[in-house]
Amino acid sequence: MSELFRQLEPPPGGLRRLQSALDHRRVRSTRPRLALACAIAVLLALLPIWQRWHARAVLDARFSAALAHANRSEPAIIVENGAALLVADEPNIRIYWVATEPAE
Amino acid sequence: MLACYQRLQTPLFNVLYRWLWHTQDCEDVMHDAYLRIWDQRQRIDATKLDALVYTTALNLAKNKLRWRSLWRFGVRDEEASDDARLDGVQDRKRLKSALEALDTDSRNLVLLSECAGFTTDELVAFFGWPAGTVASRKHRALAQLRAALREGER
Repeated sequence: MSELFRQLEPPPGGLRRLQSALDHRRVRSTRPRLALACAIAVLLALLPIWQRWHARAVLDARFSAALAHANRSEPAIIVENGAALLVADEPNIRIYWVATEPAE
Repeated sequence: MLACYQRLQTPLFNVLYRWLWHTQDCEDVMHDAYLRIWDQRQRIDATKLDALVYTTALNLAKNKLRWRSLWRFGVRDEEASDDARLDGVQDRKRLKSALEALDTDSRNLVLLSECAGFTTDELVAFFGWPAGTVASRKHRALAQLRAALREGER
């Protein structure tokens, strides 16, 4: 039986071929990770800027809406220390008409 | 991984050669098996690496044989290839037809013990059978192989 199962030597070069394939895979597997890390870093850097811009945009929108409403309806005007306060629907927004007398 | 390849390349090549009978195909299967294992390296138990290499390579060899049977026109003439020089052509033909007469498990049992030098304990771990079953099945498979070889001589 043993002469039929004589030990055959594998052809040379298999190890080198595997080594280069594994090196190639290592490079390929680090590239997407690096790209993902860069993308996350950019997002983290942009997040506070976006938050500030978004808060400002929301406030602008609410102010514009309140101002439009105040202009449309007949607002109740309360005079406070020389400034007229328009009563708007939005409780968090106060709109004042401020006028000064021209200097003589 | 590379140390494992160096350690197993000769026994694994010998096992695969008795399935595929083609040097280049054996090399390709070994290469692909190690790449597959590399891709799953996070989930692999290092103590079972050798068994996993054999299982993966044998599965890939089976796939290759299935592919060959589907695409018969793509199979090269083995007798004319360099591989025929590795064994005596007559011996190789005889052994090939005798091994083909065995079922898959018996063939793997014979090849892993005769070509890869698996001990009974390693065969028990590989097949998941009790030691008694491994011993009796190995004995039966070798007897079957001897009978087929004698048949081939006539």
